[in-house]
Amino acid sequence: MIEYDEIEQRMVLKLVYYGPAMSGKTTNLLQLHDILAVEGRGDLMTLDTKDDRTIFFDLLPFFFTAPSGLKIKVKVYTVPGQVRHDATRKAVLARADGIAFIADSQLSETANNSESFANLEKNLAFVGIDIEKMPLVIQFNKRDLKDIVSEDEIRRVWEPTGIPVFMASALYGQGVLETFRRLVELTYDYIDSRHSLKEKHMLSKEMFVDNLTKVSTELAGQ
Amino acid sequence: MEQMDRIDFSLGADMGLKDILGATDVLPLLKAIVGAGADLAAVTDSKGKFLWAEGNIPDNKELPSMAMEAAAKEIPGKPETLKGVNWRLSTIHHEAEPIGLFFVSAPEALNERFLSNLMETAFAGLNIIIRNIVKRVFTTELHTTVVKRSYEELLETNRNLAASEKKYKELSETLEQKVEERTAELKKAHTRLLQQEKMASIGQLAASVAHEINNPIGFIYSNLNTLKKYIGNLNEIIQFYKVKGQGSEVIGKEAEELYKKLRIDFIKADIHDLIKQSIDGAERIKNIVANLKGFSHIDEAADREMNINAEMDNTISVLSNEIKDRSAKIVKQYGQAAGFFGNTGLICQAFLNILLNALQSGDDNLIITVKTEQRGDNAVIFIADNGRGIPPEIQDRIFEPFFTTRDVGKGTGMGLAVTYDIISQYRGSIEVKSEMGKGSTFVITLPLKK
Ligand SMILES: Nc1nc2c(ncn2[C@@H]2O[C@H](COP(=O)(O)OP(=O)(O)OP(=O)(O)O)[C@@H](O)[C@H]2O)c(=O)[nH]1
Ligand SMILES: [Mg+2]
Repeated sequence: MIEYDEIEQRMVLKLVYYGPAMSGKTTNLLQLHDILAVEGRGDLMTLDTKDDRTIFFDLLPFFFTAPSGLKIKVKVYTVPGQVRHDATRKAVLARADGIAFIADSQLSETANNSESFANLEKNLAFVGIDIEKMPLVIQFNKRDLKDIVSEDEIRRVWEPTGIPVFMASALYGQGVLETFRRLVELTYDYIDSRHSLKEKHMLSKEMFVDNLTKVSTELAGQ
Repeated sequence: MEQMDRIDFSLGADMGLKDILGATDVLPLLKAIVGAGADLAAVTDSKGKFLWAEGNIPDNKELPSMAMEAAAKEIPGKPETLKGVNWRLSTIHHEAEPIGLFFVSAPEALNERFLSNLMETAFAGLNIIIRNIVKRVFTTELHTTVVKRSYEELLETNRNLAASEKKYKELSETLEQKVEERTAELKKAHTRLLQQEKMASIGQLAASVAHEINNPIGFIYSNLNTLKKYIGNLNEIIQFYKVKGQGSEVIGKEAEELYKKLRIDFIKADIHDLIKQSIDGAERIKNIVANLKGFSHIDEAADREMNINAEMDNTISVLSNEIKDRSAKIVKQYGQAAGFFGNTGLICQAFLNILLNALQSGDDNLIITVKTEQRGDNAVIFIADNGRGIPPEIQDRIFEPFFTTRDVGKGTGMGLAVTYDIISQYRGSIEVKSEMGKGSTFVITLPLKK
């Protein structure tokens, strides 16, 4: 549900980090904010309550211009994972162009993961998005902890669905950029097929991805 | 389903500079810059056309071409000579997108360093204004979306309601349960609120309370609207029976008596007012809730080491005009206060709001004493005035967002809240001591770099 204004030459894309409470959605965005270069990246807006739970959403915006002059804004949101904030989740999910589902690898969280995924399916249907067509990646976070689902098990369950799966330890910045990069790639394909980014706007996949995943030089130098 | 428009659940509409800012947000800042000795201060669109400006505004109302060239090369802020004036330029960003330019020029006579400081402080101030407005818009937007959604769900419920009387009963039971649940939730929220009060700043609390209140109030509001409609229907049927009844020998008189006994005429007149007042009240609560601030920013410009005394001097000179206007006297008692690490623009903003407050604290013979000293690993800053003082009952509220003692519309009530946020961000603390008729002293403690 891309917002595209042909006359103004503007496109606004919305990517959403979804998943159960405390799975690390906000942490993913915090890390992206730290890893990625300032150029073209905006401030991370976040609601910090005392106990670090998201009530509204977090937002990390990006902006760049295609060779054709098309201005592209990409807004990356997190939803609040707690069950009771479902209304807010729906509002944030509406008109999404791509989704990263952040699951918690801990064995104790298995039920919460599937409940949250079912909630995603339900809410996507509610806001009129076809999950089959939507760019979607899954991240299993908190790999650094003990008592986690094994990678084999995860691949066995998810590989048949064709949805790309990533292992991550967001708290330590691992797997965060990989997850995001794949989401961005899938999103490009999805939009290119509808708005001919390459033909009409001379915006190749490489350019699109590079613009959104430029690593801060401070880090690159390390 | 009167006036039920299509509901769009979209969030975070795109905003340009003019959607975010209004003249009342910007002009006081620009005026202050010119008051501090600048020749021209302007906020322009991204093409350099003036949106708001103060000082010597050129006839064409756009930035000098030299400044525009610098902006195009994306090296804003780089000073070059411009016919006997010095100038500074910064790009205003919103969600990473450049949406405008901020320009200040000053006669060559004005000290270069002073101009840089002025620009830095003012730009930080402008960014804070933009940030707060954007936060408010986002929060409001999300609230509205969620309320609208609850409203639609309620209408759906009502449609089901009409299906059968049996369902009616069941539903009223679940409604009761819902009310109980809501009450329990509110109670929980209240308990949580009490616990958090000690630790969290009121601003952050406000956001979560707002959210808790938001759902029930959305509920109440839409119920009231539905009720209003139902009452219209009931009225109609009563009227119908009344008119028909008058023609009937059998029940006409009896109905007429009952009608009088039940004071239906009075009820019809009053019920409209009752509901209108309730809707107004609910609407007001909705607005209050929407106004509570919520978001905080993680990003800050680069921190650097500074001498607090120097930054205080900068802030005072930015205010020189106000000080002159009010013929206030500033007494400086500076001690050791070097080695603080932070963003100078933000720190100046923090001082500025307290100094402004002090300047507005009294009418004549105003003396403001600014004292600094080092205590252990902290710098302690005292800003004292001999003004009216702050009534004890509001002393612990002055740092809350939107709290203002000035007339509605005059102060935004954000000044001291902004200071509080900035000081907390650097893990400092701020306190106020005040005595009616004698004046107030603000004490800021900031941890120094080890
Ligand atoms: N050990 C470990 N902890 C993590 C990791 N990622 C996140 N956490 C921790 O998990 C907790 C929750 O992280 P958040 O990012 O706030 O979770 P969230 O998904 O935004 O949660 P909600 O906002 O409530 O939906 C925090 O204490 C994080 O530090 C990880 O990779 N490993
Ligand atoms: Mg979160």
